[in-house]
Amino acid sequence: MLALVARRALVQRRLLAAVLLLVAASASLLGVCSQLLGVTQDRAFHAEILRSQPEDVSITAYLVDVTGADLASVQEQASDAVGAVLARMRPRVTSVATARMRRLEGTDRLAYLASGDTLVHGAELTSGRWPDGTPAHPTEAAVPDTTARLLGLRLGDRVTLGDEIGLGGVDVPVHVVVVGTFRPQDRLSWQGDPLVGQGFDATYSDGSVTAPAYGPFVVDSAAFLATGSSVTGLRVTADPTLALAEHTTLRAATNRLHSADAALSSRVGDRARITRVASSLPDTLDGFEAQQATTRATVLVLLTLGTGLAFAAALLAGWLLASVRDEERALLVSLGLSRRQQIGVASIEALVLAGFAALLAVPVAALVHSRLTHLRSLRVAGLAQPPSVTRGLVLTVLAGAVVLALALVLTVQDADTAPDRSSRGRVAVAARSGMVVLLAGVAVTGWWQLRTQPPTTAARGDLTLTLAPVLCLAAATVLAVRLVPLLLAAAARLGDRSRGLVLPLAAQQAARRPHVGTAMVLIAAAVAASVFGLSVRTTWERSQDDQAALRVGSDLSLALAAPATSQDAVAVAAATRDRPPTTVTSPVVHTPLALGSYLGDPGTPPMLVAVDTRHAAALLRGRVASGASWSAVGADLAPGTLVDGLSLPGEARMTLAGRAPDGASITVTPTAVVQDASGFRSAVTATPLPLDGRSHPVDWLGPVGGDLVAVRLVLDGSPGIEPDEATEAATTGDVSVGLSIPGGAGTGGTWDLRPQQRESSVRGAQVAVSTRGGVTRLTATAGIDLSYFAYTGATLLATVLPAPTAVPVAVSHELADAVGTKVGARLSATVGDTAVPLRVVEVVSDVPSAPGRVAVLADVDTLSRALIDAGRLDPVVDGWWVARPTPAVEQELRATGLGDVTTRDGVAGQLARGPLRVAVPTALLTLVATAAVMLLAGVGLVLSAGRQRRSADVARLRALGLTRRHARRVLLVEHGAFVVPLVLAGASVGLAAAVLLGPHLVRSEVGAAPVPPAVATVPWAAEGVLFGGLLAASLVLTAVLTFLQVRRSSPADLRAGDL
Amino acid sequence: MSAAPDPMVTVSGLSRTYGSGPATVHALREVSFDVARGEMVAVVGRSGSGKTTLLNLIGGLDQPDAGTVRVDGTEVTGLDDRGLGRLRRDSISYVFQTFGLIPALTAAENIGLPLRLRRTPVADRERRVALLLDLVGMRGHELQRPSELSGGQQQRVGIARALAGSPRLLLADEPTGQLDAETGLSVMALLRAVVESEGVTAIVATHDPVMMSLADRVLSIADGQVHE
Repeated sequence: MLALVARRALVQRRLLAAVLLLVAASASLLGVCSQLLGVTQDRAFHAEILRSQPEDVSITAYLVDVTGADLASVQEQASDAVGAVLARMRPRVTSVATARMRRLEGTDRLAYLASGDTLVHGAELTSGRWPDGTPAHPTEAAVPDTTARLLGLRLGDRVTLGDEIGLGGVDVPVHVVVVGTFRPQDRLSWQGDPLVGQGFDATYSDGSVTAPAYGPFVVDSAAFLATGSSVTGLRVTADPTLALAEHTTLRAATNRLHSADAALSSRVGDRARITRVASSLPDTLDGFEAQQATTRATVLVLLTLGTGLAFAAALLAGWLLASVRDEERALLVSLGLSRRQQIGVASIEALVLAGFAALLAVPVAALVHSRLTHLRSLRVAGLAQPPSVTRGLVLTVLAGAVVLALALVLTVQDADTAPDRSSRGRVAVAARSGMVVLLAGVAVTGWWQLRTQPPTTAARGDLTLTLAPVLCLAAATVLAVRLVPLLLAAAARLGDRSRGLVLPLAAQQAARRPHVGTAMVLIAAAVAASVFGLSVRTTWERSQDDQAALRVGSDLSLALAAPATSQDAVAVAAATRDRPPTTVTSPVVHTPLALGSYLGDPGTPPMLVAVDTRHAAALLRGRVASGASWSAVGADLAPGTLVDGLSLPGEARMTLAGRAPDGASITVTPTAVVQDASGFRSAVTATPLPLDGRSHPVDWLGPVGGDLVAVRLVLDGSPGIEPDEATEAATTGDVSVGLSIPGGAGTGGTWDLRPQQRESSVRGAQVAVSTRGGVTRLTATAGIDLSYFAYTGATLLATVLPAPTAVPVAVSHELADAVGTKVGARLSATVGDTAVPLRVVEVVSDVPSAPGRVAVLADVDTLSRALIDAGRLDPVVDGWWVARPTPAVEQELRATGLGDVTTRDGVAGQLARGPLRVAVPTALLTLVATAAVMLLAGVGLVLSAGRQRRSADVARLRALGLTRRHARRVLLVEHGAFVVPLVLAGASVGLAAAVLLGPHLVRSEVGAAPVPPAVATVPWAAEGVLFGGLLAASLVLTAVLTFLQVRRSSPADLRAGDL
Repeated sequence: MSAAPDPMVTVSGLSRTYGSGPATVHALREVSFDVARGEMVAVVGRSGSGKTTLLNLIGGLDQPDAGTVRVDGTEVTGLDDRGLGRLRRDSISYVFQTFGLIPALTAAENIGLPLRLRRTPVADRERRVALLLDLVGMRGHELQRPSELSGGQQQRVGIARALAGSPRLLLADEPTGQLDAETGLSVMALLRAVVESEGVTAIVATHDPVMMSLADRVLSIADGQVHE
């Protein structure tokens, strides 16, 4: 029997070679998928780790309040604790210690020491050098530029930092010599700094003392220890060697992290008031694993669909083979070959075939996978790999080849067992109807499962993402395919009424083809999968763009770690100076806020986003609700009129003169709110000045320039009377404060003077602005209730800014749902510690830069006015957004080192082409290509499977007088009538599935529902090309096979009984 | 061979050889004969004697190595594919041993095929098909497909289809070869009857003695030679 099998195989070698190629190609596809799921995922993980930011994978120990004496031992134990967590990845351990504030000798100003590698690495030396660790007296120190400028320090200057403030502080002064100045660069490195790298804070407060603070004075670690300073904050960070970071080692590290906190706490004991070991590593790993899961789901869709198509093709090949061998089989059966023997022989042949196919498929899959990873997007993501044969690849290919080859066994007795179409009994009809209902149910269930996926990551997501689209697509295809015979039957019925031959005969033949079910499903499913893959890919990519747009908020975001300063604004203005007219820049507020008593969920507080809404259309990115536009939203939020303010001279010094009531000794501390050319507002405080009737130069504690838009006057001192003895007449006195601005011109607008306290001692406040002799004088006068003043002082705000009654805001749907608000409602918000009334003028799906969050969008100018009116003069701006930046602008902004620069394109690129993500579009493209190949295989097989019947029909028709040309036409139309409706049905199913399922298949990089929700996007042009290509390729193949069939059939063959 | 005054078929010096070298088979050797109009001729001979080759050459399904065939005045051997198609469409019909029906079509559709080839109006076609169904006794089976018919029924449909286009020459290659004796007899009787009723010239290859008895003339073929 085996000899017969061998001889038969030799005779049918061409046919078997074709089947072998089909099985090998299909097994190769499975192998490629296994490689994508295996080695590529591993490599992607490693590549993603290598790209991660240090703070995403580092382990940090935070220790608060450590005495100088304990610092060395505590630091060592903290280093051991964090190092042990990452032990297998040879961590680099660094630390930063910040000392308690000390009094600058002879003043009430504060300064502090700090030490640590991180600070040095996060700063740029601007003069001198860093302390080099050489023992020196006094101790060498480097200071921020701002500190040096404000304290008037130069290299070589000596400074004495006196006693530490607070209880139990060290009272041994520290003498330092300035050996260098620096500019903090990386704000993240300075996040733990008391002044967050600003070098100065006019109103620093540790809770007990409020005073101007300067620093840090960065000294060498040994010198720091030698000072014996109390440490308010010690941060010890372990950074892994990323090249050694594998998934398993990182996961083990996260497990150790949980115990590290308790271990450090027990070791350090009461030598530190607070200890904590923290890391973003678990979140980072979770994110990576979620990305892997979503990518895996997409590759599994490819694998499942590819396997289904390949199995259908193998079944067709089996039928083709069985039909060719049908007579032989009948003969052998008549000679006594049992069913078991038939299956045994077929199984042996199938296994041999599978073996050869696997031998071919393993190297092919390795090569194809390698070529796939060399596609540009994967190469750029660092996933390029040489061909590699892994155990997973071999096992997958072998298993796939065996399963596919066994399809040949299934069909060994099935050459002529196609269901008889004439059997239209009730049972058959009922079965078919039941099948339709069942398939419809499967399709709807799949769609519903996808639609009702939880918005966050969930275990069932992976399975749903994989199975639901496959089931939907398969069920919908089978349902659609069932319509094709009805269509053909209708065409055939129409043909009955025709007098012609070609079209009616072709329609009748097409409508009554035997063995069509699997072939029809294969052809339609292949087209559906191809069309589906292309549209889902576009939907997926569009969603990544949408997510990036909403996440960044604009084209470019510069996020500062701390509220911006006027110097930051100057640096940003300089960086964007040469921008083209299309580039729009706006300061941005992106800060948490409280809405009444609503504080949001832990970790996700409500967000306030404020930008220059006059440029909302150009500036804001992210999909706004349908029917709305950012332009319209911005128009609702934008401030009415812009305010210029009083123009301040660059160099000339301002003077202040004022009078207090007789007997009173009152000082005034002015704070100027100035506005630069870009509209950025900052506050600068001056040293207190007496209201003694004389003119005093104003000593501002920071640079003052631009336009003056507000002046806060804090009056303090003695009213000159005892409150409990005062009479009504004696308790009221007039105060006047005049600020003279040389070189000023005009009033800059209408000024207003308001008391800042809710229950103020001020009565009848008035302000006047006049210009005389090139000097603009701003004079504030007010009556003061002196008895009240004794307790509260008085604060006045002179401002040219009209105060909004409420800040108009657009709120996100999330916010509207959370607090139950709507357009026209008012909200009471608290920004920092300042209450700001809000008025809802719009509800938008999401607020840019706050996707999926409870958030409000406001105009930055209006918000600033409201905050100034409420007494908060310091800028709340913490970043800038730039629309349509040029590469040069982006580069310049990065070079400022002010903060993190994020671009929409960059985020979109990371989302779409990051190592863990890039396999998704690649898998979808592979699905398109695979399905196209399977379509051609299906068309080829189904047309070849009927070759003998068709040849006989052609011979019979030619015997009736049909010419060869007409015979070709009949056959071509018949094949076309069979293939074209299937291609159309498949394309329809693919498009419908892409529209209905595509958006639900898109997940964010953490496996959650994307924000904004994905929108089905059909690339009509590309789909048209794909559809045209598939149709044309099918028809060309059909034409070739038709030509061959007609050429090979002759009416002379009719004598042969087998026709 | 006898020469008819206006023969329907004239075969002159017809030769056909298969293979080459030692395996050469001379199926026909310079065969010549005429068939008169309305005549029913039986061609008899053993299997492999060249009966089918002769019919194929007359019907233009095969090309001779030498000699000519004229059917109704048209030289078949000189026609191209289109001419042969026209000849088969308008003048010659076949009845095959294996029936030659299109499996996907119903009995009525198979019968109507030659009429479709001639673009006969639908009403005329349906009328003619109905007539032929009655003629071959297949009324009531018109919607059945070949796989649903017996061998005898299929051959009846084959005969009806052969007559559908009102051919002048009907070539039947062992039309009862696949039928049992009783069925074969009824088919032969049918063939004889319809040839007479339709006025068709018929050449029937057979080795059935009953068929020979029904023929007007019997041509015997052996070793590539035809004898009367």
